[in-house]
Amino acid sequence: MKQRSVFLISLSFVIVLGIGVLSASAQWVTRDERWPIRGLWMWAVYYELPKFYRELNGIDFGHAFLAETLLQTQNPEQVEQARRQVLEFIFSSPPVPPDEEMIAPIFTRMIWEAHKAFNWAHSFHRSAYDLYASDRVQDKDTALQKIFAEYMAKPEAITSHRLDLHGKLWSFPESKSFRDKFRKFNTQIWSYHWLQAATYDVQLLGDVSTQGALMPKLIEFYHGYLKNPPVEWQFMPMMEQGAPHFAKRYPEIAAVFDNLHMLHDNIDDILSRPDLYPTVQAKREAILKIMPIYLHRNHAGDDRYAAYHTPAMAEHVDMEPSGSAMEMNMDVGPRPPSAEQVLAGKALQDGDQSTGRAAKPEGGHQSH
Amino acid sequence: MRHVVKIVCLALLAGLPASTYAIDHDNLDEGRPLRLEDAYPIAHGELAIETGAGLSAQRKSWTRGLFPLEVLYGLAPNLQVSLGTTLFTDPRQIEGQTKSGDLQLSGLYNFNQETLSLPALGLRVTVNMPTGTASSGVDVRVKGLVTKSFDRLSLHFNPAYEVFSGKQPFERNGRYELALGASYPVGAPKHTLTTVLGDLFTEQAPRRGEPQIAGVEIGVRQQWTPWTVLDAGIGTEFAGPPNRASVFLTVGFSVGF
Repeated sequence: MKQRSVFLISLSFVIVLGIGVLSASAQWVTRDERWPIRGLWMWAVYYELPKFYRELNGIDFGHAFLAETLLQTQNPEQVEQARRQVLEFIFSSPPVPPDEEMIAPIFTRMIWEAHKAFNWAHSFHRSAYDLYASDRVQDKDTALQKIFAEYMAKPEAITSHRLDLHGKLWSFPESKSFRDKFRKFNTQIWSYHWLQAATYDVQLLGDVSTQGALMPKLIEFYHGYLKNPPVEWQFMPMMEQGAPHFAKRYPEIAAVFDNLHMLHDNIDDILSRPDLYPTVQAKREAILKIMPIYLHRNHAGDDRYAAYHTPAMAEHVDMEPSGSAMEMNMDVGPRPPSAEQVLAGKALQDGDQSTGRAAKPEGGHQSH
Repeated sequence: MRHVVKIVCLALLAGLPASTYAIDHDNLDEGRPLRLEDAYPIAHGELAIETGAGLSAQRKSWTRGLFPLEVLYGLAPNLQVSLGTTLFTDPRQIEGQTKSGDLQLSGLYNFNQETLSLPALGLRVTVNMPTGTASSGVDVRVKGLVTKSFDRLSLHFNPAYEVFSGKQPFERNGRYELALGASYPVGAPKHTLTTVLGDLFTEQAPRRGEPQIAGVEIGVRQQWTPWTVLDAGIGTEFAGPPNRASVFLTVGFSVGF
């Protein structure tokens, strides 16, 4: 009995170790799951802005389900069906964040490197919302800088450099494929990003009771986009469009979120081109080529990816940084309104396709 | 039994969190509710409490109640440490080296994230300290953790070996345990809050010369709030010594802070 026991145990450990050794030569990635940055603000959105909290849960599902769908099909009808399933999920007002590893098991195992970068950036997003939804923290600037510093300290942090999103980072062979093939789904994704941006400017308008009073109007406008995606948009919403005041006050943080959203677009483009990337390995390699451009750690020191920074004039001239490239190089279509325009009733939602449910940016925002 | 119910209710009330984010309910931890666990620790920086209550009906002796409590902390990326204990009713009748009130200090390290080709691998080392009733000697257990998934179905393999000290002459110097099981999120992708799991296990009996224990157990983990997971499990030992468990069951919850 003793010999048999020793044999069984030995065999078990040999199997485990054997797998480990074999693994070392193949794809190897660490999990590095992180708990949200701690502070008095934690979970404030859950308690104070529950409707918005549920929208964020829906958005998490939307991203993951899209990626998994594109891995399985490019059939327009099936992709459209997946889009409708996402809408059903969002409108079910999910009270708990969904488990993205179970929504997108193939995608997350195929490219965990991207998943953990998204996870950490989404956690940063939520921490920032929590901070502004918490009246327990008075010095928001200091606290936000602390959160930002903790975010940037991790290796999967997305860079705060302004990258050439409209130019070099949208000029890969597969770029614009997702937009052009699945325009409704694409602009639905962009609508998530618009809400995520615009919310910050609502939060700058006052304490949590003010935010609670204003957010329903913003969410209602966002739901309008979900029900009728703004297909005339040609490029993703930028932070300075949805939340110009937040973007001006915290340009580095705004750059992180813009870069994050562009990375989503880059990956969706890769997943939309099975002709260029027919296997999961080819898709993984294509994503791993682009990912390093976005990671902050690769922009330190001699900056391996300086060539991907936004053109210098856009950073130093008093103009919208995204505006430079947009106006010079591409037709970006109508641009989304700011939170302020939506709250003032100056943003168009339905019907007028020529103006694209957008409004021209205006000044006069009273921020706190 | 009324006493047990009262304790469980009090524990639940005391454990309701003031606040929290999204605890990973797919992260299977030993005892919540089965012995089966996956290769992953809790998140870096997460503090969690796992507790519950259970019953074990023995074939040749009284049914025992048990009340586990464990505090876990994500000490570093991919590393979880924990301190826990289990209190039993009728503590002097416990066979084996792990007694009622023994403190267990444990570390779980995950080597890698599962990919499409590689399983996730982890290792748990547990030191059982003789702080409990009629306990003696420090025991050390090493457990391998392997998780390999096929679409949403995850298979888990947990081989372990424990070395005992302070044992009686008729007890083993050490013993192995093996568990092989699976977990599956019911209703995914649109519903990912419920995970069902089950396993087959075998382990050497505590006493020399006694037959090998073998059993089966099934359970469920249900995310209740963003930071709370409820669980329940039931099982039986269908082979082993005469006084093996005819049925055991547990309910509990995990809270992340």
